[in-house]
Amino acid sequence: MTSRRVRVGLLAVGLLYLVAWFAPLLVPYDPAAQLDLVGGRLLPPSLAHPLGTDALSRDLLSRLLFGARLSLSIAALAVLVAVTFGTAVGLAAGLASGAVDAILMRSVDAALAIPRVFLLIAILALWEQGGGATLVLVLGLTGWFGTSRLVRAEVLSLKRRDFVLAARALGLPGWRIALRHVLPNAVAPIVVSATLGVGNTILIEAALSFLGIGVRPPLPSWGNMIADGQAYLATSPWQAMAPGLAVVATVMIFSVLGEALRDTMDPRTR
Amino acid sequence: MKPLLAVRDLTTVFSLPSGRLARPVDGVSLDLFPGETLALVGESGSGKTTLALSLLRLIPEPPGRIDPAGRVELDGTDILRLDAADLRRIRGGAIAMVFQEPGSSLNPVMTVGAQIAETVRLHAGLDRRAARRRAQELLADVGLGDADRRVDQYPHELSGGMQQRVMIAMALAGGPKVLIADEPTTALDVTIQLQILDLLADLKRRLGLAVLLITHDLGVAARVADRVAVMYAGRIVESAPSTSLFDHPRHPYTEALLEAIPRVDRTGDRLPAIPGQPPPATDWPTGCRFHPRCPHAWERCRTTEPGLLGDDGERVSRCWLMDEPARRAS
Repeated sequence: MTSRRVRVGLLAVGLLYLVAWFAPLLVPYDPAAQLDLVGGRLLPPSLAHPLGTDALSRDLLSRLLFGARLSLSIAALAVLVAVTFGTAVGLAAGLASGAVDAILMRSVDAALAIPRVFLLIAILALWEQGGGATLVLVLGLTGWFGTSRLVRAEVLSLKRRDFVLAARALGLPGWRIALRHVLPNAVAPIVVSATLGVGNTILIEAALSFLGIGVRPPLPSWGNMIADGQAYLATSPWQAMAPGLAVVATVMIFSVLGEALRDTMDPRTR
Repeated sequence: MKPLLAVRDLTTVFSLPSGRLARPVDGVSLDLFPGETLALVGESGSGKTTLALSLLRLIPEPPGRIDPAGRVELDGTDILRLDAADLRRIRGGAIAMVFQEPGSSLNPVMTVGAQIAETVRLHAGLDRRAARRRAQELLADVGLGDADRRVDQYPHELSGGMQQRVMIAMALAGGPKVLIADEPTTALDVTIQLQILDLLADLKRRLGLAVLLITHDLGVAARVADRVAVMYAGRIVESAPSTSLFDHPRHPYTEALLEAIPRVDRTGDRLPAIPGQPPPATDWPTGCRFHPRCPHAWERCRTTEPGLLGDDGERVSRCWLMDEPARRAS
């Protein structure tokens, strides 16, 4: 359960969230403040500005940390929505079987056939007024299909297990067997997919913000910082590279943790 | 005496993907009296586990189906006609069941105490703390030492014998009158088997349980059963009090089973085996279902199936030899 990789991964994720949580205390400047529009634009990294400043003379490190705050919380909340929804649907489909199962799973298949990013772009482009809550909701409600299939597959095998038959033989009602005996035994793959899902969602959120339909300026997010910086790639490449590296590193941390959890928790890959 | 559990013409049908029908249990009738142990013996595929599951309507439906012409009466209430809520009250209440594999019959992510307490709360309506105390008592009742510590352990921390004791404690949680034990000792070491059998015998005496013990092991049946019913190809073929069945078997199948037990006082010869294979449940033989493998079979056996024949009703055999003993091949 606690392999070294899992501990390292948990530590890294913990650090990420600590930094994001305490960003207001850590940052040297207000991330939205335009410090010196005359002489302070596009400054290279220095002691005063460890990552330099952007085209509007805002401190890049401050924006990066506030961006982490937004990106990490949006991703975590979206995955929470997705996993809750996906688990409920998967559990219902797996236990009900028959027509209910067929309808739910064919709908999920149909939804999976639409590329998620196109779906997101279409929804977010139409729903322009939405803020962070909208983003969480839209990312969450388009992200549960995979989880529901995973949970359903797990439930289908769990419900044939002897302890479920034994629970039925002892007269336990169906909802109790579902929530106390089937679901807790399916937690391992759910946790693994949720962890991998956070990394994936951060990536998608960055892409959407890059396109200008995710987190919208002036709020800083890694995606829109990359978009802002790409105009200056030739003259001050750190503008786009700092948030880019942050995205890559964060996604990798979640991937490593997810894979490590899978190897330790999921007996089939052990 | 009135039977506690009366099974009449119980037939369970499965629709196979190929479209064929299998009848692993085909017109079984049996009585279980208060305070007795009835052993149901038979080889793999004879339908004994399907019978046990059918008694509590635990077979998967579909593809399975219990023929509505049958009856399973507990104290006069037909279990096959109960609604879902009443059925749940009977399951784990008046009738409890113990399964073959204690290791996989316990939920791996719940402590054994929580699992027992769950059943106690359901059937006895106790609150959380009282249910936990009752779980400890039950564990002590089934001879699990150190019950105070065991309640908070997970199934994987216990040995197979201890796990089976936990299963029995769960079965007792609802205060059952009938205990169905499906191969309760098959997955255990021989020494542990004896302990579990003795525990079942002890509980039967102390609590006045009626036990339906399902086993393929004649030694197990001989040790604890008051009566034995032999099942072959979905039917009861012989039923008799334990001693008379083992001393004077009447059905050629029972005879052959007893012959096939290895014995230390008979050395040298090859162990006698029953020729042929047990028939598949999709395709029971016509006439007597044992006739293709029976050394005594004659024309009558191939065409007509005998009923359960016997002079006194207590010792019955589904064999035409009861009618025409002279036909016995020597």
